[in-house]
Amino acid sequence: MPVPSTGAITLRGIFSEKNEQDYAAQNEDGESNISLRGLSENTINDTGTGGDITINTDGWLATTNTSGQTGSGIAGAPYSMSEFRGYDHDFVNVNTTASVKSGYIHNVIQGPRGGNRYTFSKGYNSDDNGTGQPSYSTPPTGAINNATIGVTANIGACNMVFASTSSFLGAGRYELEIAGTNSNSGFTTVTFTHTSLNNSVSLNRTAANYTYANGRRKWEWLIALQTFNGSPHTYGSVTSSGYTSRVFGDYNTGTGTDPNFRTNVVLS
Amino acid sequence: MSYSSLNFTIKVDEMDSNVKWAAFTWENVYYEISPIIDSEGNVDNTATKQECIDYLEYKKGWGDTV
Repeated sequence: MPVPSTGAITLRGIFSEKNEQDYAAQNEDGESNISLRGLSENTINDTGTGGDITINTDGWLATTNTSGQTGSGIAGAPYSMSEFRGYDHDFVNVNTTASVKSGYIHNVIQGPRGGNRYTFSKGYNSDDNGTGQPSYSTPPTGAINNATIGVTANIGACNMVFASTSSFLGAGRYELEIAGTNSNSGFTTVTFTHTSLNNSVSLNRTAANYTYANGRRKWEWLIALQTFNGSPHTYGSVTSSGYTSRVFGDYNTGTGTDPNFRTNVVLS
Repeated sequence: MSYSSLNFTIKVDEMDSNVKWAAFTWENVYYEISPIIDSEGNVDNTATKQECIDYLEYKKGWGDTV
């Protein structure tokens, strides 16, 4: 259990919380001379006989902390046991939502059976120009906030996320890249929501193709055009001007970077 | 390109034991894609290998069908 938010607390209990993630254990674990300054500062040993245990700066963010303490002044004098109220040493503040300011590119190319094909690629750090032809440029990078995401634990930083038209058998595609070790896991569903238009698309992880190389995990969803054209994925169709994503970005023509963070990327 | 050395294994998803993947490594990239299941619920090895090849061709290629 974390350090209680109310009632009497002990120095030994605070040490137990840091040492074995259990305030109630009240266990010195064979050490002696517990130091309040040592418990509070990361550069000072917690006890006279052992080393330093690094403070978890997320330790005050658990909902079980009703003390009002935030840990903001923990490392500075004067040191106070009360600053540890509500501290949960192994608490992980999971972030399920990243926010994207899209870079975008729209092009018009010749279709396979004549006529124009309107293409796009929109999102963060897209490596796809949306045309299936190497002579076209990829869109501007865009930006991302709160990139490190997860569900029960943060699984890594989102390094790439976008929607585009694809070269593959007339399909649309979404791609999500999250840094980490090789593991096709960590979430069940990703939902892209346009925060201004309230459009959203939810995609199951097990519907994606997964690849891994050099610390880059990628999930790619290929969606047949007859499904990709129209709600919930796109406005318009691949044969009409204005064809663009419903969930990434603000523009349906041209190339550039959106002025606002418009797309939430939510893992669940 | 010849894909004669391409081999896949069937693995169970890490989070959902009802889901299977055709897993393979090609040119230092690891892949998991959905295998092709026949009418009796078994993995069709021939069709699944072709699916793996088709996906590799898609990943390397710049087709013209949009």
